[in-house]
Amino acid sequence: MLENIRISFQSIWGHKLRSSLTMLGVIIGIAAVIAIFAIIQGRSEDLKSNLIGMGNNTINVVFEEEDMYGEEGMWGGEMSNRSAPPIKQEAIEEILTYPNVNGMSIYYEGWQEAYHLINVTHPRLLGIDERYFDLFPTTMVEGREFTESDFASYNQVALINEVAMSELFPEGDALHQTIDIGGIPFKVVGIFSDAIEDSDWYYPESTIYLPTTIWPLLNGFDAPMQVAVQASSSETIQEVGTMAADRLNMDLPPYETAIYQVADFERMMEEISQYDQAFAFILGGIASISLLVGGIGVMNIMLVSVTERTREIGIKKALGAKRYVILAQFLTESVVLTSIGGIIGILSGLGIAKAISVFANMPYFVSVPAIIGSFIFSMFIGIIFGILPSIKASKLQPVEALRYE
Amino acid sequence: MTMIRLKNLSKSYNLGKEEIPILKRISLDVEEGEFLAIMGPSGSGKSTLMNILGCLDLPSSGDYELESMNMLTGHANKLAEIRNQFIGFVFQSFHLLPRLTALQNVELPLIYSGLKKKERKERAMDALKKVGLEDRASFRPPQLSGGQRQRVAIARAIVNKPKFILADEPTGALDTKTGEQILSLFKKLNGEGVTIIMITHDEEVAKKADRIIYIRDGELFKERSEDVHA
Ligand SMILES: Nc1ncnc2c1ncn2[C@@H]1O[C@H](COP(=O)(O)OP(=O)(O)OP(=O)(O)O)[C@@H](O)[C@H]1O
Ligand SMILES: [Mg+2]
Repeated sequence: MLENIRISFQSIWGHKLRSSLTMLGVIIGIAAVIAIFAIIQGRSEDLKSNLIGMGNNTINVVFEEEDMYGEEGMWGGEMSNRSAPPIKQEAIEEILTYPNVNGMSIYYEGWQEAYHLINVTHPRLLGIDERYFDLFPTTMVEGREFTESDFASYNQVALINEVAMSELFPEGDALHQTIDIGGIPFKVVGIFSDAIEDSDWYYPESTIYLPTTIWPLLNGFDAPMQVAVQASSSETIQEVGTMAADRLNMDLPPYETAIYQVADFERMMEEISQYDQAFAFILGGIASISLLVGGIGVMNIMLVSVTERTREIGIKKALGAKRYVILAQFLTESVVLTSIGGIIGILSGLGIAKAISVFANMPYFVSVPAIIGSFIFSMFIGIIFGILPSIKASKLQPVEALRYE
Repeated sequence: MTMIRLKNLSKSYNLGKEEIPILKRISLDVEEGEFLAIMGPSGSGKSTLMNILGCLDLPSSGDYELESMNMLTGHANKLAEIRNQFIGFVFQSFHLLPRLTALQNVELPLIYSGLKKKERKERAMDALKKVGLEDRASFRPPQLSGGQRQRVAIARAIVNKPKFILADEPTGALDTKTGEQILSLFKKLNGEGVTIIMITHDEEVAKKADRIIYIRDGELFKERSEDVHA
C-alpha cells in the first residue's frame, strides 16, 4: 500500500502539468466549498457569540411589550424608551438565591453626549450597580472602580474607557478631571480598557460608567433598567433568564402592559441553523457540480493513464500480479491525485476566505470538521471516478497487454 | 521425468465470422531439466504457443499439464498465481519496467508472492549475482545495455525458482555476440537444473538447445520441414 502511494506520487510527479490540470477541477471545487463555508460559518459563529451571553453565560432580561420576541424574532423588535417601575432590592436578592444563578446586575443604559471643555464624545452611557463588574469584568488602567460610598452618597463620579478618554482628553491626563453630562459635572475616578473582546472586526466604542444611584439625576426615576443574569453554565442560561423574568414580573403593577422577558436563544439558534442549512444546500449544489466536472476530468486522465501503461500492466500480470493488485495501484493513484487536489483546494480556500475577510472586513471561521470533511470527500471522488479506469486496467488480458505497442 | 505435457492443443481466433486456426492439435512432452528450442517461420504460431505455455492465454481445446497438474483453470487470479510460482518469462524486448531499478524489477515476482521486503531484497540480489549484474543493481533499464537488460530479465525469470523458463526470442533484439552471452547464461542455468523452453527462428541459436522442434502453420514437427520433404 505504501509502495502504491509512493509509485502514485512518482507517476503524478512524472506528469506535472497534466496532473495539475487534472487536479484543477477538484481544487476549484474544494476551494469554493472551504472559502464559502469559512465565510458563512464565520458570520454565523460571530452572530451566535454576539447573541449569547458574550461568552460568559450572561443573559439580558428586558422590559418590553409582550410580543417583543414574537413572530419577527429579535430582529423585528424595537427597543422602546418607555418608563418602568424601579426594581426592588428584595427581588434581586431573591433571584440571587435561585439555583444556577451565579450573579445578577441591574443597570441603566443610554446614549448621551459628554463634554470636557470643547471636546465632546458620544458614549454608550451606563448607570451600573456594584455587581456589574462581576458579570462584565473590566481592566482598570488608571484610578479605581466605584466604591460603596459612591453608590451610598450619590457621588457624581464616572469611569471612562480609553476611547472616551482620547476623545475628551486628547492631551491625556484625564484622572480627577471633571466632565459634563447633561449639564451635570462628574469627576473621572478611573479609566478602564475594554480590550477583552478579541473579535478582529470589533471596534471599541466610547463608553462611560456612572453609579446607578446617580442616574435619576439625568433621566428621572422611572427610566427602564437593564437586567443581566449570569447562569452557572451555558445549558442553564435560558432557564435562569426565564426564572429571573418571572420573579421580576411578580412585582409589576396590574395595569402594566410590558413585562420582563428574555430572548429565546434556542429558537434564534434554530433560525440561524436553518439559514446555515439553506446555505449548505446551495453550497452543496455548487460543490457537486464543480466536483463532478473535476471528477470526470480525473476519470478521463486515469483512462489515458491506463492506456499508456497497458504494457506495464501486461508485464506485471505476466509476473503474477493479481487483479486487485492492478486495481489497487490505479485506484491509489486516482485517490492520491484527488487528495492532493483536495489539500491544495483546502489551503487555497482558506487563503481566499482570509483574503475576503480582510478586504470585505468580514469574520471568517476555520472549521476543522469542514476541512476534514472536504479532504475525505476529495478522496471519495478519487475512488468514485477512479474505480472505472482501475477496473478496466485490472481486466486487461495479459496477452493483449504485452502485445500492445 | 516428464514435466510438461500438451495433448491435442488447439487455438483459433475468431475474426468476424471466420474461425482462423493458429495452433492445430499440438501434442508435446518436455522433460524436467531439458533445454528445448522451438523453431519456425514468422507467423507460424510460436508466440501463441508460448503464451499458452505461459498461462497468459488459454487454448481453444486440448490439455495442458505441468507435473500432472491441470494448468487450464479458467480463473484469472489462479492463472496469475501459476505464472508467479511456476513460470519464468524472458521476452524479446525485455519487458522491464523503466522506472524501477534492476533490483526492483527483479523483486517484482516476489512482491506478488507476498514475500517480506528483506527476503525479497536478498533473493533478488542473489538472482542478479547469478547473471553477473550485482554491480548494476541500482541502475534503471535505460542506463543498461541491451544484453544487460536481458540479463536483468533473466534474473527476474529465475528469482522465484520457477519450474521452467519460457523465452520468446531472447536474443532477437541483441547482436550476435551479446546473444551468445545470453545463450551461455541459459546453458549455465540449464546445467544447474533449470528447464528452459526457448523460441527462436535462428538456427545457430537453436543449436545450443538439447532438442529442437519445429512449428509450421500451427503444426509441430520433430525435424525441419525441409528434411521431412527430403
Ligand atoms: N489476437 C489475435 N487475433 C487474431 N489473430 C492473431 C492474434 N494473435 C495472433 N494472431 C495470428 O496468429 C498467427 C501466429 O502469430 P504468432 O504471434 O504466434 O506468430 P509467431 O510464430 O510468434 O511469429 P513471429 O516469429 O513473427 O513472432 C499470426 O498469423 C497472427 O496474425
Ligand atoms: Mg513471436
